[in-house]
Amino acid sequence: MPQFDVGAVLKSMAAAAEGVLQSKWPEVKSFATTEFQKIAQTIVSIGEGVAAGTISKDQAPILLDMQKNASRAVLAAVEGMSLIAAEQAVNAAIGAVKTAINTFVGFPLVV
Amino acid sequence: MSTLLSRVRVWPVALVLLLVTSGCAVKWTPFYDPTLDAKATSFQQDLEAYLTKLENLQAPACTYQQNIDYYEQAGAQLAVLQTRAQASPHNTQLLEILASLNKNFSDLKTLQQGAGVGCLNSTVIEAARSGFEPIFESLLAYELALKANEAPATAPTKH
Repeated sequence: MPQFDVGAVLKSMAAAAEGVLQSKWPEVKSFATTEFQKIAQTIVSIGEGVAAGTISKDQAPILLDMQKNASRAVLAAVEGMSLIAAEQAVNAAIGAVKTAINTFVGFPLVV
Repeated sequence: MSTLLSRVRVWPVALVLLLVTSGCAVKWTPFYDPTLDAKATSFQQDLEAYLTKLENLQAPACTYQQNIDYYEQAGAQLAVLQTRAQASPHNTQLLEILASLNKNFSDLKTLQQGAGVGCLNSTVIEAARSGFEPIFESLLAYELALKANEAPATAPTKH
């Protein structure tokens, strides 16, 4: 059976996610890496199951599709969590200048 | 003089930014929905119980035909989850996670239908279970992040 390099697959998945998320990647790296690791490991198990005859050739693509769906969910969550971080950063920035702005305009523009 | 000029340049930009936000905190993410969170956990518990039951059943009790009730009930639970998510603002990521869950649920159904009068073996059930786990973990992590984001200090101000 040909070798499946889990490490290389994991690296590619992480690189793809990092490319999309760019500066927000460090905030979600730990969660994403753990989840990608589980997915890569299951893909290996599916391959081994096919080789051992415990997973049929009809079942294998369905099980692989389930792993793809799982990856989509992980990426969506990572994207959502990075949006939360961005939202908090912007709100903190606006909050930091609230008094100065309100004093300047003479009414509570920022509440 | 240069300080005065830089102030003159910076204030309009700051004002525009603040007017765009209408004096409120920005909100690009959904509000935390405790009902959705509880229903997702309930769906996960039911699915886990079903997979564990399947591992211990013999034919014909393990067949799709004998377990249609579970698929009907779980399908209804999923529909409720999706409806709640659809009603939420800024729901792109939430809907994506639930769409993945829905697809994996359909895949499980296809696997069991494909087994015909036989049972899914433990290897297949375990691989299927492994396809659900990252989705539930993603949903939970995202819901927890949304919940933490609604702490009083960062909650958006009501108009």
